[in-house]
Amino acid sequence: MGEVLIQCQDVWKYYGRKEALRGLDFQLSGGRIVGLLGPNGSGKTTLMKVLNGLLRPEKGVVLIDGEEPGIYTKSVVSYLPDKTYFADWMKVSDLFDLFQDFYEDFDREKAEQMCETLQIQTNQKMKILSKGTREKVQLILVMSRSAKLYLLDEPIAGVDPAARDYILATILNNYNPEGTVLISTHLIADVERVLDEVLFIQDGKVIRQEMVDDIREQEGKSVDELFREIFRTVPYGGGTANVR
Amino acid sequence: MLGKLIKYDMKSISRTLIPLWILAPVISLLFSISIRGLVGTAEYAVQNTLENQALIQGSAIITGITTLVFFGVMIAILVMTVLFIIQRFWNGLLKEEGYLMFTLPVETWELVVSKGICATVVSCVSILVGVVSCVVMFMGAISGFDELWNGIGQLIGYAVKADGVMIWSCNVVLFVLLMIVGTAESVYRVYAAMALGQLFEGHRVVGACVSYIGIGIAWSLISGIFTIIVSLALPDTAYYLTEDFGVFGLLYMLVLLLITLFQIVIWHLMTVHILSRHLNLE
Amino acid sequence: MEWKLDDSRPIWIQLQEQLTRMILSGRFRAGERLPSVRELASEAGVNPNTMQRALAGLDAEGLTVTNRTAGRTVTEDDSVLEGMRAKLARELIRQFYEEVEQLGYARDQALELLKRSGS
Repeated sequence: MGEVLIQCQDVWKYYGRKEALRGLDFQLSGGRIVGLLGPNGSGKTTLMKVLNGLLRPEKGVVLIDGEEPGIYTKSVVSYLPDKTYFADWMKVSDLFDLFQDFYEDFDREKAEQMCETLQIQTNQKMKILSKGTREKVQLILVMSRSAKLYLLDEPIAGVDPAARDYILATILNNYNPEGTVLISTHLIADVERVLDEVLFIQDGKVIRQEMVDDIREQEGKSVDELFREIFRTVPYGGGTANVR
Repeated sequence: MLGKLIKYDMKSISRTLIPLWILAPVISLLFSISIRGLVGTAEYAVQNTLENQALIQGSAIITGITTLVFFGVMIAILVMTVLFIIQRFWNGLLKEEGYLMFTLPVETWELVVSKGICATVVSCVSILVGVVSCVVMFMGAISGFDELWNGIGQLIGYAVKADGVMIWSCNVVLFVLLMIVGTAESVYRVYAAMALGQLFEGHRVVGACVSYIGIGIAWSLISGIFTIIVSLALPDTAYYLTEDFGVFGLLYMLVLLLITLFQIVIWHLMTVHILSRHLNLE
Repeated sequence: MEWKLDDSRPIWIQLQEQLTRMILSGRFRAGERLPSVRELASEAGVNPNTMQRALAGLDAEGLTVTNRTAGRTVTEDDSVLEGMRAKLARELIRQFYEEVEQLGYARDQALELLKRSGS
């Protein structure tokens, strides 16, 4: 299904002496929703930043749609960081202007409609909006683009279940079906049913890459269960209680 | 794309600085009028041998207040301009907003140049507003202002007569250019320091301050050595001074301009290199 | 529509089962056009590719027919629907016997039990 969209070969990234990515290797095809799963500190955010060009790896090959991260890849990648990124002077409509000016694939009408259904007024300043609303505006901006690659860094971390449903539905209803969506998260149970494929990442390496239905078929368990198995740490006092 | 970036950077000025730019000349005009009033009142009192102290005191108080407001506004412009330059770069590129700006499909140098141009324009306008306000104020404060104007006119006349219109106007143009380029250099030096500072994980602000001082010291060392070499190589600079002031000024400013441009290029390359290779967003 | 998905089995199989049941129960009638893949996927909160796979499964079973103009419609061939209905019923009966036997009943005892509770 689809041709290779992301290619990472032996990618290394250091923060000072600490290694964040240690010879990361994988390929992803277009037209899929992929989960990037791993415990905290496994390199998920670093990988996201490398893919969108915010960080440059020390070693290795990173190709998106056949090109190294740069102006072209930035024009086809839609990135949702794990923090809100607005200037305090901006209104919602200023952001729409900005996206319209810089991204050819931005669908302003769609963004405005999405704001309308959420009853967000576009002439409001970003700084007076609540944190949850700001995050929604950011999601709307990102999903109103018809991108080749969506990089969503922890989109459902720290939100209530209702907002979680809204976020997942927004992603499902609005992504470009020819594009690939890469969602990093540690809340697997919540996103499992929207994923085609999963990448398990640990200590800066991809340790497993598989289709979700293959895991269920072959292992007879959910991705969430498999994840707990792989990343289980034995608590003090022995035993491996599966605490939820 | 650079044009669009500049548009957004310019948009962010309007809220804070533009009101001050309008306010400053207005306040200085009020100040100037109130001083005229004070002087006038005093003269009136003396002429009519009035002992009405209240009148003089009253207008003195008004003058005092306008003086305070005037200097307040001037300081506000200065502080706001400096803050604006630092904040638009620091918050706009090196904090959360950086996630937005550095993922736009533009080159890193475009981001830096856009901020640089915007900051330089803002600084130049602030300086201009400051100068205009001071002139307006002096028009009221100094009673012999017309004589001052005449004096300046005469001075220009002498200069033009001595050096010719050509050289004199070149001097003026170069001087203005030097002011602008000098402003841009100060802006870029601050940028380079901030780019260096963000590398210091956990101590970014301290890092930026130390870097700024470090850059200053490094540059004065280099330029000091350079000056010594030049003055050894050209021992006859004094000759130019006495012989032909206009031409000397021209040459001097030209060299200064080139040096400043050179500085800008260095700070620019440094900033762009750090931000594209070692960006360290919080 | 209620979509219930459990954790251990492939999602597309569960979707196909539930769609089959919706067709047999008359939720989608013979000849009726099904909603698009995207609509169904968004309703079930699943990936469109997964829903696509489930619908392709329906096509393979002959429960639905895809053609270019009308999209995907429920088959009007009653024999296919009847066949599927019987197949599901047989599966349920098999499960019933299996579980009842586990409780220690013989087949004819179980049948007797079924008759009495049915009334």
